[in-house]
Amino acid sequence: MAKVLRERWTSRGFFVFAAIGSAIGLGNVWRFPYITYEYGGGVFLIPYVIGLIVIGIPWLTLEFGMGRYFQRSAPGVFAGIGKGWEWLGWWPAFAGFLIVTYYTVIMAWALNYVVGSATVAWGMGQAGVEGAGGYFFETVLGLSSSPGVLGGLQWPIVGALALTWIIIFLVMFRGARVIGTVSLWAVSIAWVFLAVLLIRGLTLPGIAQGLNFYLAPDFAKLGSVDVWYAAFSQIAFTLSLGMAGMFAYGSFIAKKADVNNNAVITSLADASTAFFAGFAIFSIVGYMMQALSAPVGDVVASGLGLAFVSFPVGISMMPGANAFIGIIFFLCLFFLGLTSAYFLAYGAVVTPLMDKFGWSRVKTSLLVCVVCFLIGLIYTTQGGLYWLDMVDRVACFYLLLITGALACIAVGWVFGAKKFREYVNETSDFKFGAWFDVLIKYVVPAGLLFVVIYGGFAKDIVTPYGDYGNWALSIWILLVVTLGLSFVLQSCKTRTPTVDSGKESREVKK
Amino acid sequence: MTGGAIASMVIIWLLYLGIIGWSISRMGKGGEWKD
Repeated sequence: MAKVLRERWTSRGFFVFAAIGSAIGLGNVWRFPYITYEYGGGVFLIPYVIGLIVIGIPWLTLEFGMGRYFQRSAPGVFAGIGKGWEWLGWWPAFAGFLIVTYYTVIMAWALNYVVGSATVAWGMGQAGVEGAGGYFFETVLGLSSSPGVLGGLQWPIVGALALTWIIIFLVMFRGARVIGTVSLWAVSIAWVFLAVLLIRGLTLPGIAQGLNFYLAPDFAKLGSVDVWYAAFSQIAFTLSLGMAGMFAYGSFIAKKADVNNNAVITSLADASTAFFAGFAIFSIVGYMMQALSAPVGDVVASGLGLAFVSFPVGISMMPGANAFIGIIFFLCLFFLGLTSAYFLAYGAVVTPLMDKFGWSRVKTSLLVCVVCFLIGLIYTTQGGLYWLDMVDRVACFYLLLITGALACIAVGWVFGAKKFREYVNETSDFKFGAWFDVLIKYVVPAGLLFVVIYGGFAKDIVTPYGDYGNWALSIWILLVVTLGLSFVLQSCKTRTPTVDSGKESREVKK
Repeated sequence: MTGGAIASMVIIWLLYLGIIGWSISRMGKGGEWKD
């Protein structure tokens, strides 16, 4: 049998940083701190750590390990599990593809804000408090009245989006070697920037008050289903799983290298980054509460509202270094986003296409960047924010969770949880016990289905998501279309056949 | 800052440091990074 050459991470350190870079993203800064405050403060960390251990780490190990076993990205992995399963690798790849088309637009907004921060364009002091919302929705986005009114392109965002895709192309067209190096730098810079923000927060009055809201435990909330839902959903989204990319990153791991410990280190680094970001965010929230004499509910927000409205208000209110802190914050968001964006583009789209059709890396990378940029233009229109929110709901919630649960079922029951565990244990720094099989076969799929049913179907069927009415219902078609396209891709001829490295290693042992 | 907030902060950091420290102490036994 011909020896199959697979690209490789140049060292463990580069791989770990690439994996950490893909896991940490915007959600660590704008989602984790808020839901920790919202769902019981310090107490929230109990369900969060439990979720990390019973869902996050096993799921991440599964994606790394299966990628390494078959030496292929997600479609090749599932084609290897059994004839007719390949679609289950393409479906999450579509999630990654859809997500990266709008994720890069958010990065483009951040770049616009880097420029805007230089002059604190939304206003200083009281003018900024009143002007931050208008600056985001009117000046930057030019937001229209409904998803049906797309309006024109917002050219500063289009320009920043083009720049973002050029950077992504330059990172990924040389493959894992450059991705590893860039990730090391980008993750380190993002951590330094978070530290700068924290130091600024520490020098402002009100920090104790802010951190109190972040961490003061409310034990009564531990009995609430909502708290467990919030913890499990955050775990499901934060590690960039269910988007096909980690299978590809795993396939670049050398065949004799560790899997289990790298999954633990990646998960813990992601959680630590989120926890650390919370200090930076809430120290500044505390200052805003004091400066504005406002209750915490008025100054803190989640998601886009935190990054592009609340935080700019905080920047306007600061007694000094306003522009500097603004630039640092939005550059930090950009770097956090960048490592996740090229992970999605390369791991979820470029590598599966290269594996399937045997195309060259440069050609595939260029094609993917151009197509994603063109699709991303929809989100740079005046109605773009609405579409971004709706597609996010389908791709980064339903698609991710459903395909994640199915992938665990396929590996746990068809491939065999025990066989998988024994395979990854063989070369890992430490071994997982039989409990790992129970997590893969039952706990992870049940946890993901709980999130998708409790937080998704149960709510969206009663009231369509957001305030978009029928638009929110029509976007569901994406689930059906992507599933159909997954079967179409499965039916195409595979130019680079899947390798069963488990068989190979057994043959070597004889 | 209340005692609860401080306790949460200390406990979670100790937990993270403990697991990361343990993970790092196990590193290096996992085989080669080149085929």
